[in-house]
Amino acid sequence: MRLISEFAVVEIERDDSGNGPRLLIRDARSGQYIYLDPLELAALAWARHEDLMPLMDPSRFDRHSRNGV
Amino acid sequence: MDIATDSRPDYNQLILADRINGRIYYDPAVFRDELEKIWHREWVYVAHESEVPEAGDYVTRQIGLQPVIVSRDDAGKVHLLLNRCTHRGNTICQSERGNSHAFRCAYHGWTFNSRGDLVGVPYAAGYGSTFRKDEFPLAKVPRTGSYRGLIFGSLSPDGPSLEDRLGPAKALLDQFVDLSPEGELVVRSGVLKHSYRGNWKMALENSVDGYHPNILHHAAMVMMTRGKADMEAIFGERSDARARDLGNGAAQLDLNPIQVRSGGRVVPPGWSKAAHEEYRASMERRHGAEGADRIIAQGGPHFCIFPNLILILNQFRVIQPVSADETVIYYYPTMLKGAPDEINQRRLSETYLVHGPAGRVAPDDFEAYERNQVGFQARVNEWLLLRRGLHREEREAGGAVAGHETDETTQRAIWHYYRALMTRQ
Repeated sequence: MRLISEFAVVEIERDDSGNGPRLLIRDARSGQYIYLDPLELAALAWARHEDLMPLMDPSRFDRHSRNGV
Repeated sequence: MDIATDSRPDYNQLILADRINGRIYYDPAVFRDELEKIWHREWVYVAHESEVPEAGDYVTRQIGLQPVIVSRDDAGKVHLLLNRCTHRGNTICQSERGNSHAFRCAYHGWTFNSRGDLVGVPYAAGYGSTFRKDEFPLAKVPRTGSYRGLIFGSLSPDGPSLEDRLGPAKALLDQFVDLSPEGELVVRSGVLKHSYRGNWKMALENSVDGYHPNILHHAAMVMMTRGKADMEAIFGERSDARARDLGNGAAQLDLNPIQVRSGGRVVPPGWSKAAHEEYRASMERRHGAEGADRIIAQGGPHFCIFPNLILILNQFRVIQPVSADETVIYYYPTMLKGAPDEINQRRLSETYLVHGPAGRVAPDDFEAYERNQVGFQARVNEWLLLRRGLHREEREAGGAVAGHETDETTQRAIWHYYRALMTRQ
C-alpha cells in the first residue's frame, strides 16, 4: 500500500522472507527502506510523535545512504 | 465631485452618511490601506475546528494576503502559523489540507513540526556551531481565538479580545450552532469556490442586502417556491423582517418573523416526518420542550461578521480578497452534529443547488458584482447611494439600530465601521 502526503511517498508491505514476519517500509522518493520486526512496531505504537522528530531532522541525511541508494 | 485617484484616499470624504464613492471599490491604494488597517490587524475568520479534527491535521488559508497554516499538534492544540519558511521565505505547505506532524520545505529541506518549531536543516555544518534551531521557528499569528468552534486570527498583537469584538454577533453565532442537537457544527463536506472580477466588499454588502432578492432573484425564488409564496410579504414592502446593525461592522437580516410563521426553516420544506420527530426529540433532550420549539421555529440566522465571514441558513461564506478588483468566495456547507442524516443531506444539497456554480441564486449575485466593477469605470458621477431607509430606521430597546428588511441599515453598518477602521491611526 502507498501513503502519500505533499511531503513524502511511502510504500508499505508485509515481508515473510526472514524467519518471522516484518513490515517493509520504503521511501519511494529516495529508495531508502527498512524492515521493522513486531517488537520494533510495538515500540512505535507506544511512541509519541515528538519521539520521531529527531528521526525527521534532515541533517541526519548528510551521510551516505544506509542502503547504498 | 470627482476625486483624483492619484491623491491619497481621504476616507472621511469617500464615505459619507448617505453615500460612498466608487473609488473605494477600484483604487489599488485603497486596497493597500485595507490590508494594513483591516486584514492584517482585525480579527479575521480562518477555519473551523472540525476542519482539523485529528492530531497532525492541517489546512492552508490566508489572513488578508498572508499565507497561514492551521495545524493541530499531537497534544490537540490548534496553531496558526505563517506559511513562510524562516530560511528564504518559500511557502512550505502547498496542499489545501493534509495530515503531517512535520512540514518540510521543498526548496532546501528545512523541517518544522506542527507547532512551528524548527526540527532541523540539511548539511547543518554549514551554519557553524553557533546555529540555534530555536531561533528560527515559523512565525505565529500573534493572536488566535475560537468561539463555538470558529477559529479567528489577528495579525496584530493588540486590540480588543475576540469576544469583545464579536459583541452581539455572538448570540447569532449561538443561534446558528445551537441548531445542532449536540451544540456543534461539522464543516467537512467540501467547499464551493467562486471567483469574480470585482471588489471584496460587494459580497459582504450583498449578503445582508434585503432589497435585491425579490428583484435579482425573483425568477429563482418563484421557481423554488413553485409560485406559492407571497414574495412581497417575504422580500417586499409588506415584509415585517428587519435589517439590523449589530455593531462592529456586523449586520443581520432578521427573517425570524417570517420563519416563525412558516413553522421554522431548519431545512427546506418537504423533510420526512420521521426525521422531524427524531430531530425534535433530540432537541428537546438538550433544550427542553419550550427551548426546542423556539430554536426550531427561528431556524438559522442570516448575518455577517466583518470583514470576511457570512453565515446564512446552512453555510459559511468566507471572503478572500485577491486585489482591488478580484475576489474569491468560499462556500462551506455546515452539518449539524447529532441531527438526522436526512437533515444534513438537505443542508448539503441546498448549498450546492442554490449557491453552486450552476445554482439558482449565487451566479446572479456574481454577475451583479462584475457589472458593478465595470460600472465603476464610469467616472463622471462616482457616488453610490446609501440612503435607503434613513428616514425610518430606529434604535431598538436592546440598543441596535434597525430598519425595514429592504433598507440599507445593514450596509450603513458595514460602511461606518469600515470608515472608523480606515481613519484610525
